[in-house]
Formats: sequence, structure tokens, C-alpha cells
Amino acid sequence: MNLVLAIALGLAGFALLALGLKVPRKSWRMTGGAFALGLAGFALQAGPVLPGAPKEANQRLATNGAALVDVRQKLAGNGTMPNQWMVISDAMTRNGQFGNAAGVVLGAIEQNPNNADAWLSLANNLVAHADGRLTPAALYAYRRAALADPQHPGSRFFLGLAFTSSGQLKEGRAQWVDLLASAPPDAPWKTDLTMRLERLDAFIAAQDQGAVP
Amino acid sequence: MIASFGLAALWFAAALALLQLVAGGLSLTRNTQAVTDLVRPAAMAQGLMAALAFAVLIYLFCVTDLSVLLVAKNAHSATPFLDKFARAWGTLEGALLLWVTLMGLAGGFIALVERRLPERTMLATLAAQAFVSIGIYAFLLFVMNPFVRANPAPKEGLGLNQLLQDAGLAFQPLALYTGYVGLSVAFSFMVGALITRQIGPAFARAMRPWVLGAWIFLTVGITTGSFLAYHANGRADWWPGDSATNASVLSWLTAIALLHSNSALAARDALRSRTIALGALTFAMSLVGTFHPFLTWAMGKQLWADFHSMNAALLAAMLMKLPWLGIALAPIVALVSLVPLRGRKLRMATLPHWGVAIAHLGVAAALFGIAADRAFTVERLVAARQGDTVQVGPWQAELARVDPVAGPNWTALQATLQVRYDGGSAQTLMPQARTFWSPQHGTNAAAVATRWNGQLYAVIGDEVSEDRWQLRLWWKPFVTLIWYGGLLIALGGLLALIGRVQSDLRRVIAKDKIAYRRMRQGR
Amino acid sequence: MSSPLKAKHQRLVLVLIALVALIGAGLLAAWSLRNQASFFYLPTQMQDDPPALDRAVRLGGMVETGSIKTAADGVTVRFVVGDGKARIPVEFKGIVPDLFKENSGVVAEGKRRADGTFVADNLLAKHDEKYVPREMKDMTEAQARQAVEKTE
Repeated sequence: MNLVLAIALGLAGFALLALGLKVPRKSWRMTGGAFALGLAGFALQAGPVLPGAPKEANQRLATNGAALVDVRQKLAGNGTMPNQWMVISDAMTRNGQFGNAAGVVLGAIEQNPNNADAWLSLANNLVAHADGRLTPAALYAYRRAALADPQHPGSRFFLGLAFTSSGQLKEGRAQWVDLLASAPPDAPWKTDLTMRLERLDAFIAAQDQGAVP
Repeated sequence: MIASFGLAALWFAAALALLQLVAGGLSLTRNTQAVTDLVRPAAMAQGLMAALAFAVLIYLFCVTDLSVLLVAKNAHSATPFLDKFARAWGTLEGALLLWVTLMGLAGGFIALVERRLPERTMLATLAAQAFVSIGIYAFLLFVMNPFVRANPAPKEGLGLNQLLQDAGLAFQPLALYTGYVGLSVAFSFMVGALITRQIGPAFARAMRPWVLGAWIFLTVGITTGSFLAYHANGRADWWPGDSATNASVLSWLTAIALLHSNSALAARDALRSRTIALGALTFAMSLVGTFHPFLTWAMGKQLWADFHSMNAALLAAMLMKLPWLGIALAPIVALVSLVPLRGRKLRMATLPHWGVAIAHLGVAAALFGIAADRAFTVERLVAARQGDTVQVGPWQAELARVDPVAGPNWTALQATLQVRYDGGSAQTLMPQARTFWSPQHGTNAAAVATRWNGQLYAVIGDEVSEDRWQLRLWWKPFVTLIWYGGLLIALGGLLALIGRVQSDLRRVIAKDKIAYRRMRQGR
Repeated sequence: MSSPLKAKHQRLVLVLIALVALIGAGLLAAWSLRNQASFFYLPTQMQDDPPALDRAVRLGGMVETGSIKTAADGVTVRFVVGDGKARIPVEFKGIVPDLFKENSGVVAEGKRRADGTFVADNLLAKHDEKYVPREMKDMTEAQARQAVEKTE
């Protein structure tokens, strides 16, 4: 199949020279010789017929934006006031538009730099935008969230989550242990967190033993 | 399938180059109609075939055809379109294919339109051009073939999924490559003229547009490269200093010498041997620039780095050691540049005269910019808290806040700086420390405030402790003159080129008219 | 002068001025060349055969684990560069490049200070255009393997 195409190209080239560019007839043999040489070289060098393999971009594995928003709102309890920026950005987060959501949340933060919920939302969006990685920007946002409201469980929970999802399991565990230790006894999220911690511990143990690559 | 079509086109292009060389060589000795009438068409067809091969390569990169090894090693399906496009010539194989394509197209163009020189010289020129190209074709076909297949095709390319942070970076190398090819074309003219012993004004006039055009592209490429590097490196450093840039500047300098010498040859039939020597030197430098990545790989980075750091040192020392010398020289050069215009009524001055004057003015401007930047730059490096104000030169910069932000493929810590020049109104600068994850790396996106008399360049670094941020600021007086100067140089060259081409066309048309009239009169 | 300079002579004078300027620049370049940072030192070389104190050179090696310390002013960084045999302390004032971290290669441009510290004014990390990994071949095998692994 390749050879056929090559021959066709060679013939077209020859036709261009002989007829289009008016090469004198006496030189047609030399010209033809050149094309034959080219064809021979190609035939010797080209391997077996291989199909092309064009590739479309893959869809990115989307983080579950809705889960991020729901858990954050649950952890915040009843403390937060409705905020137009947060409403919009949460909608974007649910939709997987983490970069845009981050931009919108900055508006809430500008209004009130002590809005821990906003800082938390920003941090979560930044991590999700970076495919689960804890970038310096996200780390900074988590720290500001903790500064704004040291009692808010969200900062340590999500920071722990971000640590684990970016492969820093020990640091993630430390955040959750710390959170559990300082949790008020009637916190509704304690059982959930305990379970998560158990699962994480099991995973770490398995990894240490070399069971997980 | 399409990939093998590209390979076939490459083989045919190489074969046609061989044909061009053989026919060209034969036509010098045998001079039969059959052979001489073959050379120009062969050149034109070669250019088209090479262009076809290159077009195929671009296509393969744009669709990320992973059955092609070059694509598999250097591309990624998720990169944006412009990136994919630019990667076609980002590899050495792609760059060399671009080189033979440009060379072939130039040859075809010459074959089509160049009629000023004696026929034998033209044939010798085309043969010389084919000779140079064949070396590259052989390299492409047997050593670094862009169309080699990967079997089995991998699931994803090994290239990086990275947004080209600056579109300019995609096209700046193109300008340099066009320059290098143009210089090689000029060299072919020279070889052709040498073989047929036609080194004289006619040859100089025929070669001039090619040297001038190539040099204009080099000027644009170097100026753009400096501008982009300055903004990207986070150190306010306008001199990239890497070996590729040094090679391009050396080519640029030798091309300037060639231009001057060639002008003397065109005007007064003088400086023949000097022109030839400079032509050969310029060609050698353009090859060095073209093959720079390969030479680096072959000679080992250290040897190459030594060679180029010596050159870099030479160039840098010339420009930077005594900035006051530069500041003094600049007005002298400016005055000298006006000399060709002096003594003529300004309306009578032709385009080439304007071009020469403007180009030299550009040199003066760039020289002044370089010297002033070196002599007057002020720099401050501090660890600042939010609310602190830093004084750098005539500027006061206040660190208002630091925010985490997200970009298309990065997150960043962005500082908001309120800057005031000499207590004037406030401007906002927002430098960023960016983190990428594909691949994992960080960059500094500098923020710049430009005035007529210089630039304030701001960079933010790490957070050193709770809420203290590294901040580095430069006040660089007249640094923009460097790039304005470079553009002026290119503009001057362009005017000169247009002027020459116009007058050449007029001459050709006049000659044709006379010949036609003679024919009509039956003479 | 009794008669004005002819156009030809004027050209000559201009050319002479330009030539003098060019030669002057060339001489300057040649003189300053001995000061330029083209010379590369490994820590062992810097210890055994140190360069003159005012000479701008390059020092390349591996950043010792645990040696990176930021000073109180927040912008001065001190660390140790080693090649498995010798260790040289380095001081750098500025924003460190990305990829500069412990147990990784670095090339520092700067000068040696009288107390033995290398004062760097520029740091080049792995993927920098001017970085030269080959030079560090003579390091200990383990470090060299690491460097080779991570380069390109």
C-alpha cells in the first residue's frame, strides 16, 4: 500500500517536471532515473505497512467536586452566612471547574480575609485543579483557613486529605490524628473520620510491608 | 500510512537534489540544452517535495500520530494545538527537515526568478546549493530520520503536557532558522560565482538581498529571544547567554561584516577576497548555529560550553565591561549613522540610504540601552511582610497582599504590589511564583512596569517564615532601548532590502523594455 | 588645515575611528577574559587548587543533605556542595531556582571568599541551559548514578 502511494507520488513529480516545468525530452531518462533512485531508497528503507495511530486527548479523571462541597459545608456546621461568591464558586466546584471556582472565591476573601470557609474552599479547589497535588498555593490557603478559624475542623481534615491524595501519607495521618484528638465529643463527623483513619492506617501498613507498590 | 508518504516525499526530494547537483555539474562542462534546461525545474520540484515532507511531519505532530517514533518521544496528546504545531520543528530531526525545506524553496524561488546573473553562474549556484542540501538529506535519511516508525505504537507520547507559556517561544527559532538558510543560500551564490569566475558587482547585487534578508531574520530572532528570556528567567537578565544564542549572535556579526564588504563589491568592485572570506565564515557560523544541538550532543556539553562561554565572555566583555564606554559610543554611532543622509536633500535620499541610517541608529539605541542598563541598574532583595514598603531607585513598592491563584495548568502565589515612581500615582504589579505539575516544576512570572526611561521588574520568591516573602526588585533604566534598538536595526535592514529590490526590478523592467523595443524595430 | 578634507578622506577618518574603537573593545575583552566565568571547579578541585579570590568561576556538585539553611534576613541561603570527597560551603543571596534541593546537582557562579566560603551570585539547576552535568562524572558512584538518572 505504501509502495503504491510512493509510486503515485513519483509519477506525479515526474509529470510535474516533464509536462509542467517543460524539462526537455532528452533529459527525461535522467529525471526518471532520479525518481527511480528515490523510490528504490524508499522501498528499501520503509518497513512493513503500519497503520497511523493518531491520538485524541484523554478526558481528565475528574475529582468529585460535589463531594468536596458537601463535606465542607457539613464540617462548617451552621456557622457560615450565605455569601454570593461562595454560592457561585460552589456551583462551579460541583461542575468540576476548579480553576474558575478558585478565582471566584478570591472575591469572597477580598471582602472578608477572615472567612475560613472561603479559604478552605479556595484550598480545595486549588488541590483539585492540580490533579490532587498539594501545591504551595494550596498549602498557603489551608494555613490561612486554620489561622482564620483554629476551631474549624475543615482545615485539618482537608489538608490531611490533600496530603494523602498527593502521596504524603504520614503527614496526612498526622493531620487527622490531631483533628480526632481535639474533636469535641459530640462532633457529628467523628465516626466518619475514625473510619477514614483506620482505612488509612491499614493502607500505610500494607505499603510498609511492601504489599502495595 | 501518511507517515510513509512523508518518507517517500523526503526520498524524492533527496533524489531531486542529487539530480540538481548532477545536472548542474554536467551543465558546466557539457552545456547541452538537455542538461541545462533540467537544473532549474529540478530545483523547483525539489523545493516542493521537501515542503510536502515537512507538511506531513507537521500533520503527524498535530494529530499526535504515535506510530511515528519522533512523535512518540516528543509529543503528548493533551498539549494545545499551538504546542503540537511548534514541536514539529522543536526536535533536531524536525529542524533539519525545516532547513532543507526552506533551502529547497529558496532554491526553487531563485531558479524561477533570478535572471540577473550569467546563466552559467546560476547553474553553478544551484549545483552548489544542491551539494549543501544533499549532506543534510543524507543525514536526515540515514542518521536522524524523522519518519521512523514505532512498532508497536505506545499508548501515550513521552512528551510533556505543557502549555507553551509564550507563543513567541514557538516562532522565535523559526526566525533564526530562516536566517541560517538565507546565509547558506548566499554562500551558494558565492560558490557559483567562484566556480564561474564571476565575482564582481553583478554577483554582489544578486547575493545582497539574500544576505540582507537572512540578516533581518537573525536580528528579529535574536531580539525576540532576548526579550522573551528577559521576561521568563526571573532575573531581569536580557542576555540569555546560552550557546544557541551565542552561535546566532556570531552569525549575525559575521553577516554584518559580509554585508558591508559585499556593498563595496557591488558599488566599486572592491574587496573581492575579503567578501569571499567573510562569505565562507558566515556560512560556517550559520552551520554552527543550525547544528548547535547536534554539536552539543556530539562534542559533549562541557567542551561546547567551554567554546561558547569563551565566545560569550568575549561578547559580554565587549558590551558590558565598561558601560560608560558604551554610553559614550552610542551618540557617536548615532551621528555616524546620519552621514549617508547628510549632503543630500532628504527627499532625494533613497530607501537604502534611509535604511542604513535607521539601522545604525538602532545600533546606537541598543548600545545605549545595554550600557545604561549595566551602569544604572538598581536592585533590592528583601524578605518583606505584608504592608512593608521597599525603596528601589526612584520607586517605592508596597507589598499589599499575597494570594493563591490558579491558572490553566498551574497554581501560583501571587503578590500584589502597589508601586509609585518618585511618589507619583500608584500602579499595581502582580508577580507570581508558579507551580506546574505536568511536568513538575516552578517558574517566576515577573511583573514589569514600563516607563519611557526604564522598567521596574518585580519577582516574588518563597515564603521564608510566617508571612515574610522574598521580594526582588530591579530598576532598569533604558533597558527597553535594547529591544527597540534591535527592531530599528531590523526595520532599517528591511527598508534597505525593499529599496534594493525595487531598484533592481526597475532595472530589469527597463532592460526588458529596451530589448522589446529593439525587437519591434527589427534589430 | 589649508584645504577641507575630501569626501574620501572623511570616510577614511570615520573608518579609522571605528577601527580604533573596535580594537579598543577587543583589547578590553581579551583582558577581561581571564576574569570571566568559563572555568568550572568541582569541590575537590576548589579545595586542592583554589582560584584567585577575585576570579569569577563556577562551582558544581551535589547539595549535601540537610545543609540548606536560610539566614534570618530571609534572603541569604547557606548550603554545602560536595562531590563525595571534598565539601565547600556556599553562600547565596537571592531567590533560589526551582529544582534546587538537597541531594540534587547544582552549579553556582561566583567567587571564593577569603574564609573559604564560595559566594554565589547565580545558581543554575538541572534543566538550565548552561548546566553541565558531565563534569560531575568523577563523583562517588552512587551520587553519579543519581545525577545521571535525573539528567535528561
